[in-house]
Amino acid sequence: MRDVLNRNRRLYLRSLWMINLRWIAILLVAIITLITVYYFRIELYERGIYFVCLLLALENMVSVFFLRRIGKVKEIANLVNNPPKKIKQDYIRIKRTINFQILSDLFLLTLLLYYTGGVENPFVFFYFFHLAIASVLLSQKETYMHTVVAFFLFVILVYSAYFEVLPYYGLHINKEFVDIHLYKDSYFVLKNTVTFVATVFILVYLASSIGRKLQTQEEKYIEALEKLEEKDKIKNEYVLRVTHDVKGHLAAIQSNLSVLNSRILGPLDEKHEGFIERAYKRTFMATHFVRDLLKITRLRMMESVEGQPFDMIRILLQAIKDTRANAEEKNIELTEEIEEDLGIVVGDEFSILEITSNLILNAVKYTNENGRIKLKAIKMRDDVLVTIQDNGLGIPEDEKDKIFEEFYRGSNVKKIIEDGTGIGLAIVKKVIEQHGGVINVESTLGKGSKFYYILPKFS
Amino acid sequence: MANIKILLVDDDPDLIIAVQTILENKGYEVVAAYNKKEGLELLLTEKPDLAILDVMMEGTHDGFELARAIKQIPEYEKLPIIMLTSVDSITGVNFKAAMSDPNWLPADEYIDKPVEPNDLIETIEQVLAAKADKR
Repeated sequence: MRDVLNRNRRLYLRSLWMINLRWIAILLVAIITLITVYYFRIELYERGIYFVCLLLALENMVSVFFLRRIGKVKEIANLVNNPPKKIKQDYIRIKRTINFQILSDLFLLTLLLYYTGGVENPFVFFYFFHLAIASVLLSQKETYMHTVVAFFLFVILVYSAYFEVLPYYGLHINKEFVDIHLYKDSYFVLKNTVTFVATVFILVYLASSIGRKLQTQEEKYIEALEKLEEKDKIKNEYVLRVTHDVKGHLAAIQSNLSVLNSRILGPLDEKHEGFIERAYKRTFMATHFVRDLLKITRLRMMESVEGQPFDMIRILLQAIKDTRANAEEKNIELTEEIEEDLGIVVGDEFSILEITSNLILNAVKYTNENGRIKLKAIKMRDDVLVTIQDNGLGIPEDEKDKIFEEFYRGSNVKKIIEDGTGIGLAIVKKVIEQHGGVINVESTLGKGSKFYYILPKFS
Repeated sequence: MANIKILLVDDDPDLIIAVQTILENKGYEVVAAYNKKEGLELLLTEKPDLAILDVMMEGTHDGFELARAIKQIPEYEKLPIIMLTSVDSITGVNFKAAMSDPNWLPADEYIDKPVEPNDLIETIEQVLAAKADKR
């Protein structure tokens, strides 16, 4: 179904593109007419040309009206809310709009050429543009239909002048213009008609074959992408299931070890003590890793975030409160500078609280004793900017881009701090992105890091 | 402390042993059940002062259902309940959010597994103190 949706979106956007091009074309025709008449002093049937411009504008307005009735581009590309019947209906309606536009363009181009010299006008080959667009956007059958229409319009245009069925509007240059009446020259007219027919059919054949090949290729890519996504989903579910089971075992092991390790049953035998402590420490690390793995897998499986509006100041102050004890343990000075009336953010406040606390705890982890950490929050026009700055170990220059990747750990911290999972910052990034925000880091090795995230405000 | 009885419901016997040891070591009396049904039966016969419930047992929300069932019995409407959870586990329930709606999750506190003795004792003391204040 997604390929049809994508096709709808593509056609809709192309249709809008054609409308925009047409506004430009109207403007250009008007400007060129003015220049031709007042600068080059070529006599033109101006009234006719402006009449065509008016009809083109009308065509544009009708097209916009048609597209608006189908919906906005976001609504058209929405897989969740669009039942298959509506998607099919949208497809037919968008194609109808494009067919209408190309047909009207062909008629109006013929009318414009009629008022500007017909077969003598060098722009007579402008028909090709419309047919090239049709070949890419429409089916082969529709394209050939438009080609036949273009052919008949061209023949009517040149032979109505040749047989003097309709009055002829030529291009007259001043009084000195030598009127050679090419439109009455049977050889010239026939030569142009034959060239026109040959070129137009070859062009349509070539363009539509290439267009079809590209379309098939695109459909194949989409199909492959869908298969990959499906496999990724199965993989995520598998990871979730396995990790959950492992976590159950780890929880039982760690809970039992913690009874011994906390010495609540009395002191441990000196010979056994080391073994218990090591086993406890490694289980603790494994639990931490499994917990992060579960979290990132669940985040990956979530398409969007649900939530309510919440006050950002309250969340930031809570994060500071939750992490203060950890900072004090290392005698780190944790300060804050939060602007008043920071704003309301929509989303899962517990996730935002958690990732903010995680960023502070990360700073605590990678900052030496007696260090400094500062949380700063400022309001911007549409966003909230939060920075967490420390004077800790910092990140090597070439690793800054990688630290938000899953399982990546900075080369300078791996040896010093053993219990990092390499998933924490990937979780932070995922949560921020799901809330429509961005996260980044500035850092100097040995001097400290500054993590900052931006979240859109609720308006 | 000796007169405080705690109902512990979890389907993992190895975890029950650990938690039971921590609690008994602190002087609490512990009665343990391994599923929702046994838990409800023990509640009525043993009349505990506090309940610690695992969330995922046979069903993924057994703990929630048990908590709701307990609160529906008038006699135990005010029984302090602590959920023992794997918060970041398969259900993806956010406990802080879930507990803000007492109809959805009528619990007083939650502890994330694995259980750390100090955290567990501290939480129990807090919940009991809060309950005493209310009276």
